[in-house]
Amino acid sequence: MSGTGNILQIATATLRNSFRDKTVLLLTVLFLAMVLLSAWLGWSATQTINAIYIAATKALAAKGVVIPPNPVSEGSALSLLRNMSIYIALLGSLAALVFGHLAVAADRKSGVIPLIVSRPLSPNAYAIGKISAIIVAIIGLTIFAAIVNVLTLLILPGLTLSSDTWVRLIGFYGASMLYMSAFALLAAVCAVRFKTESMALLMPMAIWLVLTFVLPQVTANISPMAALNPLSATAALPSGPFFAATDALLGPLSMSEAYRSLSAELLQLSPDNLPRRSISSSLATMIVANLVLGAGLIFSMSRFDASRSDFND
Amino acid sequence: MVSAVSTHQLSLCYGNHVALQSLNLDVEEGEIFGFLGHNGAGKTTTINILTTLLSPTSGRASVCGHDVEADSMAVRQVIGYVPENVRLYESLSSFDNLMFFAKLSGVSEPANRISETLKFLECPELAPRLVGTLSKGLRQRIGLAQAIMHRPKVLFLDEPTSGLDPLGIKTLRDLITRLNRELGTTIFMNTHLISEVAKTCTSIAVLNQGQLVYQDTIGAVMKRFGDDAALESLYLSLVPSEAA
Repeated sequence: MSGTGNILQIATATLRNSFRDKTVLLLTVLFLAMVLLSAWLGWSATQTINAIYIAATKALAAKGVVIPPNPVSEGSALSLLRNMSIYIALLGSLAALVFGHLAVAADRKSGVIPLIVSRPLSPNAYAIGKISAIIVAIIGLTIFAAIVNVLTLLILPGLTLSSDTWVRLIGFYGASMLYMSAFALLAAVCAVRFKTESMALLMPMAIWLVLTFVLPQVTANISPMAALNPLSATAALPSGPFFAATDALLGPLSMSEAYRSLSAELLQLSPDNLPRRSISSSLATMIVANLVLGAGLIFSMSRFDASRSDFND
Repeated sequence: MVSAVSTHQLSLCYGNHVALQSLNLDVEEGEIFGFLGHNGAGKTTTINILTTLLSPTSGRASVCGHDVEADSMAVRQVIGYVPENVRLYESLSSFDNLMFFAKLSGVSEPANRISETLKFLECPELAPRLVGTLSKGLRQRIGLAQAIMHRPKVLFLDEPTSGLDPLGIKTLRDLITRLNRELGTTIFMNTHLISEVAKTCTSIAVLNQGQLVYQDTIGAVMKRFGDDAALESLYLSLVPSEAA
């Protein structure tokens, strides 16, 4: 079988096995439920504003007062999706992390790696098969979220979606995919490198916690919960030598901050007068993270001792 | 004629521990080769090198003329491997597991080949059953099926009878003999059961603490020592009891 065929086999088997795992299923369902909830919240809030606006319009018209424009049609349509960036930063990345872990750990736990590696399959093909499975799973999750969100935006009265809005939407989901896949790849690398499963899972979780909650606070004084929410960035970044130094040193590694900043920019949530990361630097952080982790997975697999593939715990 | 398996000065060290020391071995095509030795003698290490799972520290090894280091992909095309504890995807059926491995091995018309293989191994009824529900003996059968579906020239079996009951051992022994006779597969079998070697193998080698201490055909051993008990005496004289 060709290298491509083998990659496809590994990817297919990984997807099939992973989505039979209860943890992956639970986190996926939870993520999808939050997407639906987010859509409902956005729809409900807009309906309420519209209802209030119509009632106010009637009252104002009766008094002969000039009627102000509807705040729904005045604001950014995409701001209705503000909750999405929180759910992706929290649940989406966590689901991706668990998926990435299981993509490799399931093979190690079931003991099939010696059998797989004794086939005409290179370690690179195995690693690329795993990366392909991770990408497909994340694209699937993101497409579902995108469809739900777009349908919500389309059925809401008073909203018009311009071509710029569509471009921003596509950009947002692209950035979300990059963000989630980085965590999945990180977990897959750890699942190859560590001898015990507990460390293979704990290490990416610890890195996820640091990236999500600690680094944004160190580099930009953004409190843990605010780090998740693009709306909360309404205060200017703190000045001073400490934050200047940490931002310069650790800022490029602060992936959650990059994602928060990028999604705020794309969803038009950020106030105009605030300095923030540029789209290109945020995007670069996430692209570089994905490339480094993807290469790390291929390298780790090429050095992996298949004869001792079982976890020690 | 090219040997099915050949090693020259093959060695492997884990840090200061020498797992395999200057092993010179030749197994001819069509043989059922029994590789005897106590636990920890280096038998599994040898199979791991020959199946390309491990790289030797020094020396050379080849399977059907293909070097295990320089031409590992070609080696993998011609071998089948059944580890001591056959482990497959437990949440998948036997058929799905076999389909996965058949496709990885590049088997054309894999569904037909799976059906043929399971019939050959006298267990077609196992196809729809989840691997996680199979007994050790039946799992060993599916393990054997995954290893022979692509019709390998050399089949490596690591302690194939380990943990099996007497009936399971006899069934597996018969299957190994049929594989060798009907498909012409060379069998390389690690074991420490002398009785199995006497009943199944055509040649043997004895490994002790990483070193080869004896190699001959079963015919020559029997001619020299007479019967199964003599084979056991030979083994025990070659492998000191403190190694056990």
